[in-house]
Amino acid sequence: MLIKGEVNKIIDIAKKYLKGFEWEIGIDSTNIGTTRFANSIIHQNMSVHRPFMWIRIINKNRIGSATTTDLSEEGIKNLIERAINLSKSKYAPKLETPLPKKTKIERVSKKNIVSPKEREAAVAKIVEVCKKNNLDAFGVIHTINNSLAIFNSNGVNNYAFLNWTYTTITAMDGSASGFSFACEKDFYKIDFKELAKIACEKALMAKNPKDIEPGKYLVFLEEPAVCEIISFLAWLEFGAKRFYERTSLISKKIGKKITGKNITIYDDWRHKLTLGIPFDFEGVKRKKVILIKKGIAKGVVTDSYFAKKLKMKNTGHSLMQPAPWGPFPLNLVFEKGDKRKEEMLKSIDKGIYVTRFWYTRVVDPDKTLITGMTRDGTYFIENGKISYPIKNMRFLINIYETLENVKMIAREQKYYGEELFGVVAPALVIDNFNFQSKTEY
Amino acid sequence: MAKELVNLILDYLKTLNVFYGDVRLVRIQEEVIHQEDGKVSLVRQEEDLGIGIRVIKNGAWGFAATALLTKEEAMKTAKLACQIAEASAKLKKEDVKLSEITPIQDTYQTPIEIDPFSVSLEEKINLLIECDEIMKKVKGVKKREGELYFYKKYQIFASTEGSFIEQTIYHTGGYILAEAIKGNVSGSRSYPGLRGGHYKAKGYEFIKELKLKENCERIAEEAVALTTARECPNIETDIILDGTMVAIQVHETVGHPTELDRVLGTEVSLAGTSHLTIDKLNKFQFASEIVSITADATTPGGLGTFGYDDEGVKAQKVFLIKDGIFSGYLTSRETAVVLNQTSNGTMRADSWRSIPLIRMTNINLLPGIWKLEDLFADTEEGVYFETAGAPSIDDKRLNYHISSEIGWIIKKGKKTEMIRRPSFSAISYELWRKCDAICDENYWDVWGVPNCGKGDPTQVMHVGHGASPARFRKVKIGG
Repeated sequence: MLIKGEVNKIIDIAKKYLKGFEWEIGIDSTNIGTTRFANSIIHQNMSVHRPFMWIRIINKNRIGSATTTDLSEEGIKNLIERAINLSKSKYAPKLETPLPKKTKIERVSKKNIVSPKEREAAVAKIVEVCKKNNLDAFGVIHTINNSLAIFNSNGVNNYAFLNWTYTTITAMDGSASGFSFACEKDFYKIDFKELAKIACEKALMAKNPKDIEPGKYLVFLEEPAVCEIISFLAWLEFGAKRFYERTSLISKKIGKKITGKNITIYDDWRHKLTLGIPFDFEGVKRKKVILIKKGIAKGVVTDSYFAKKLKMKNTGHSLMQPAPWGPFPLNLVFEKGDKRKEEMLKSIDKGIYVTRFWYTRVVDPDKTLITGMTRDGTYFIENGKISYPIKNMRFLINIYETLENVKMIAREQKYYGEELFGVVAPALVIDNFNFQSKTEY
Repeated sequence: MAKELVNLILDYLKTLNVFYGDVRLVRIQEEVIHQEDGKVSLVRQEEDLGIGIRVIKNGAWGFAATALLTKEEAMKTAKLACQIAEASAKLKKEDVKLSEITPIQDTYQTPIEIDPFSVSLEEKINLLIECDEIMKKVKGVKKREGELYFYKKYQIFASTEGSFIEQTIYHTGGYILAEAIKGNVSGSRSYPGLRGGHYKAKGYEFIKELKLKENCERIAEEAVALTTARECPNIETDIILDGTMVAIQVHETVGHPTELDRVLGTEVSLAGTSHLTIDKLNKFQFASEIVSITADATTPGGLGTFGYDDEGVKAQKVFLIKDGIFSGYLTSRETAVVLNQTSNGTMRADSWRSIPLIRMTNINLLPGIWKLEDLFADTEEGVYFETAGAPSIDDKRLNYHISSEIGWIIKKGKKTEMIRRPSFSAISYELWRKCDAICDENYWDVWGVPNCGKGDPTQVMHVGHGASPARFRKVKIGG
């Protein structure tokens, strides 16, 4: 990652070649340490420094954009020349909305650099717990230091620095597997032994799974499963582009009931579990946006282009511009409920317990119809307890209908997502959850 | 300068007493042009340049990468790779072994007729705008899109064993899309159609071969018609899949489960494992006898075509499925040792900053003997699936689900009524065992998939799939 002083030097170099133009520059610089382990050994272990710089140049109201990883003076000069050349074309995209006005936002976390040795020591703890349970350990530890800077010729001067650790553990014995995870800003707060114990307990409970018939069941979804469903809802429904095109269902339902009354979903970078970058990729300050409140459709997130098109306020959710895919909520929060997870489980006479989903895809966007598979810990619940493991199944659900059937919401939330996009969500109990088919393990 | 830097790193690695080391210096240039409703919404040129250094030290792997191409930074990165290997070694069970290789010095370049980066922006954009104007004329079309994509990768691979290989790879492709909406129902059609586009290891000449303009009116009309088409019935019936559907099926149900690293457990943390375990090799009846599938890194035009993989192993062709029997894996130098074989050359990384993984090359279903019109005529009742949608499959690659953009009911040997987004799901090997007809080489094409995800962090690889339309008997379709 680049500290603010290093970013300023790069901007000073760029400015030498940008005289006479309006411009926007983003610099995303990441140091990522990754340790992957499988069969209880480390098999991939790496450290990567990747700076990434992009530019939008406005030349007589036409945009030229280019990116590079070469932040030498020659690389920056070349980047700017490429963008200027593209902006000269009579077909280059037009600037539809002016670049954002001057802002200065900084959010800098304390630097927290984790060494390969520390990652190895964490894996050793995981392996030790798995070995005690006669299981093999599989998984990954990513430690990320990331800086994001957005500057423009109007005086936008924003910089954020954050640390992030993402780890997953799969304990396995043949086909029986159990999963646990953690997403934390502070590597040293993660209790790797405790996480390994959870994965082991799940794997031990998953041995000799039984076959059950597909159909509609009451389900207990752990947080990763809920996060997966909500992230697909976000792609389909919470951005301004499909809203503007009136292809999303929410575009026809603002102010009306769209889910059960117990559902509230919003985007808020200030939530303690999200990554917490306070500005978007145009440099606009992110605002909290209520998307669904107590079952009523409330709104979507915008960037400067779609805010103008829709005559709405810019909520500060732009992706890297030009962004043909429109704005996106990167700090989604599914509001917590009031139940303890133990209480929720105890209340279920018969149902299915899902640890997580896998390979979820959209089948029909008109209906928010998605499909995917269960994975790494699927069990049958009887009389308020996990009774026996079952073979994995394929779900096929309409997301909005599913959110009509939420019976209980946990009071604890977790952030789950890979690398730099995730969702904060609680565990849920949902009725009439549709499993379409089954698999062999 | 690049070659000097690579040689300097190799010399330095030798002083650090590595058992093995390789260096990849990679420069990737990409150009994306995207139009929506007649407006160019994106023109971007991207450049990605850096060095990745992989070592075996103390019997374990280490990898480090940097975008700063100075001598000082390169040495620092090499040293870091060694320190990482030393950390990995603390948890090893045995030393990493690599299968034998003959060091090679060579160059390779994708054969192209027209360098896509030499073609003017005006020419590229004009094509997209002309496509838009044709689609716009079709009444009822609400949204139009088009995109062109060009990719060039220059890479030096060099190892402490003495290999030094330079390669320049070109990929070219694009798509057009039309969407119509009626009430709450949308119809979406794209062309050439493998989740949107078609991509090949070719130059700009491929854009001309795609015949984008010639297909605009048809897909726009089909998009409108889809808004009133009926939904897919829930029945068991015969299905005929077009080449794009077969290509995706080959990708998900044959390509991924034959990756030997998955089979050995090293992708459990994200991508999963495979039901094609080593005990099934050369024994398991995976498909009907008419099905043979190869991994062929020499297929002309394939996105998985290259001179050498990222371990310096020469491109080759091997059988994965032969006459229906599961008969081979995609391997690396490390995993091939488990089978007492040498690598069949499938290790690739998506950039300088990624570790090479076993990746599909061109996984090709060999052509059969049928004409497509004869296949329809021979089908009493069924559904024809056209233009692959998004697939889904479990983490052992058994329960497979996919939809297509459009479908057609077949009755008495003829395509009749149109249906919207038909889908089916099946256990992968049971599906392949139901394959009783494959179209011949006249219907065969090598489809490009530019977005195959694997690894953690996820790497996005360009892979190819040769396929022609095929029929599968008695498959359960619909939700």
